Amino acid sequence: MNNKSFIKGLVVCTALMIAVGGGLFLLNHGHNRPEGVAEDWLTAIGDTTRKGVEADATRRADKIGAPELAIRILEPQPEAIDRKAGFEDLEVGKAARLSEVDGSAVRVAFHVTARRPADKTEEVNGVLTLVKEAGDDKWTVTALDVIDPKVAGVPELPSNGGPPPSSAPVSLWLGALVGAALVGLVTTALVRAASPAAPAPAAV
Amino acid sequence: MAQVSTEEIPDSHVDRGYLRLLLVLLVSAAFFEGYDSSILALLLSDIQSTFRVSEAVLGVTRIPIELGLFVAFFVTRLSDRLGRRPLLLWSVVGYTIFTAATAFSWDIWSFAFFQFGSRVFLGAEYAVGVTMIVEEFPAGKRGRALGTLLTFAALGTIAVGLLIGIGLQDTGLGWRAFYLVGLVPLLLLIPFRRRLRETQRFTEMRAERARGEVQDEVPFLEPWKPQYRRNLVLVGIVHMLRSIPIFGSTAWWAFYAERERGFTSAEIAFYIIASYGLGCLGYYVCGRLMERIGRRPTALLYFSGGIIFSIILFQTANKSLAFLALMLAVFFGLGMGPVMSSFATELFPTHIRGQAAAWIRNWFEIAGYVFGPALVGILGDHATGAIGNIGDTVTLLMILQLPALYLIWKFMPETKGLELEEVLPDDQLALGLS
Repeated sequence: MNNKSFIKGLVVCTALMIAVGGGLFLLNHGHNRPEGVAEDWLTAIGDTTRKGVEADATRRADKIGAPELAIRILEPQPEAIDRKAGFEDLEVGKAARLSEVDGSAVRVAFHVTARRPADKTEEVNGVLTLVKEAGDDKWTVTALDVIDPKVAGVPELPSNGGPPPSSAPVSLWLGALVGAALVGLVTTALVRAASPAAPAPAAV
Repeated sequence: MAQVSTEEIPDSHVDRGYLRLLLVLLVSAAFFEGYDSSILALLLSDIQSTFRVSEAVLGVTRIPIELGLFVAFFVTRLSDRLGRRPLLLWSVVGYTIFTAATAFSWDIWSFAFFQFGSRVFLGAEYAVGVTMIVEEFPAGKRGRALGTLLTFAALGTIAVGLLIGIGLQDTGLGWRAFYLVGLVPLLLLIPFRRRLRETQRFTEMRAERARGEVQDEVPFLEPWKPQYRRNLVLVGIVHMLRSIPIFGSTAWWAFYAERERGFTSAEIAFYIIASYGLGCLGYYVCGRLMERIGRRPTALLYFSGGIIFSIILFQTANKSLAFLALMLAVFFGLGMGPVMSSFATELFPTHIRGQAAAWIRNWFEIAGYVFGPALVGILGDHATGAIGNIGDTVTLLMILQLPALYLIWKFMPETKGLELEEVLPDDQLALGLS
């Protein structure tokens, strides 16, 4: 390989990366799941007690829903939990529409292990309500209820046997098998192409 | 089986005592490679708190830090010109200085700069260490030595976990104390450096250069020459196919376990320490197995195990099964390191071995470091991802790794029990006449 072919190779690789990036952007376009938004909000809320990142976390949470909604589940004195994150871990369930006809308001079950003073923790189960304004694709957290999801009539958390918020459709699994076959073909061709030419047979 | 060359094969030229000393020196380097790489992953939130930076800034600083491994390529290739010994010694010195300096970072950017420097030398140190083992150990002991080396890299990760467990981060120095521990390699190096020798194969090659039989300056694109190209492309692609799902899964498992399977943080910490502790055996067993049954069958076994147990790990809701799967995914998935290292070094002649290994590790494999975690994060994002599920995204990437099995089975040359000179001449391997 000379310098020219090397530069060509780099250009091809860069073009390929841009194509993959564009493909990913197109694939992701239009997805905006309330479960993920609920999870992002809870993560930011948990960070509002964490040393050094309080302001950034409050800003992140505020973009999704008022941080004051979490007052019932978050330790109010960060010093009492050594200014660590307010939640040790968290999980959300699959969203359920509030109304059969209107998909602009949903409820999402959640569970957090909340830090409490003296190195104690508290398991908190609850339900978040999220609303999407008409003409706006953005979900906003509007209410937090500390309630058993079963009682609230929303799907259970995946760890309690509930459905996952999202999963790959069957077509994607089949697509992955086809993709693996294609990758196999391309890589085999690359290896063969990289092999030096066999010596030409001697002239008779 | 590769053709046996008529070239003279150096017999067991290095005494056992020296090999033991060499292994001790190299495993300490490997241990700190694993140790240092894990500090950032496991203490990121503490570092973020100290420097009071947002998630976005934290994400941006990771880019220059990880680019250090890429720059390591240019340092590593110097080992084919200057020698293995000076490169290893200077890499340890460079790594130690930058790691110790990290402890004194005053803001996130100084931290990123010092970590970038540390990654440059760590990457070079690791690559030169593997090359030295391949060149110095006799064929029958090479696999075991590589296995031992990589086991210690995994033990470095466990050491960070244990230090976190005993609360080193809660001392007055906080996370900075972890980086000061990184000074230990330099202390080990001072008494031993005079006993560390240049590898015999490099010494012979230097003599050939002096006689004008081998060119002095190894060009940047030398491993891409037609006689080496097939092995470089083959081994590089296999490394890339493995690294994308492997690094995607290791980067996201803790998040997946917590957010999609409801693991507590304590459970995650326990699972990681226990599985890495037992999974470490994977490196050692791999080293032994590749001597006993060969490189190719070992690679096929480890690839298959890695794929199967990773898929189980990212699909099961049963925590006991997940524990077993995590252990075996680490055992096979990460444990195949020795056989991958042997592919990246044994199939290339001495004068380009360091450079070929650097191409494979720092160009092909780095794709996994960069794109694996990014792909999983983008496609599996719970809010905006096309799949919206980390477990399914990792599983799909594991399926895309299947062609590596075919490539190994169909094209990879076997080097079991062969001295490096027997593995050559390269053109026979490259033409598939082996």
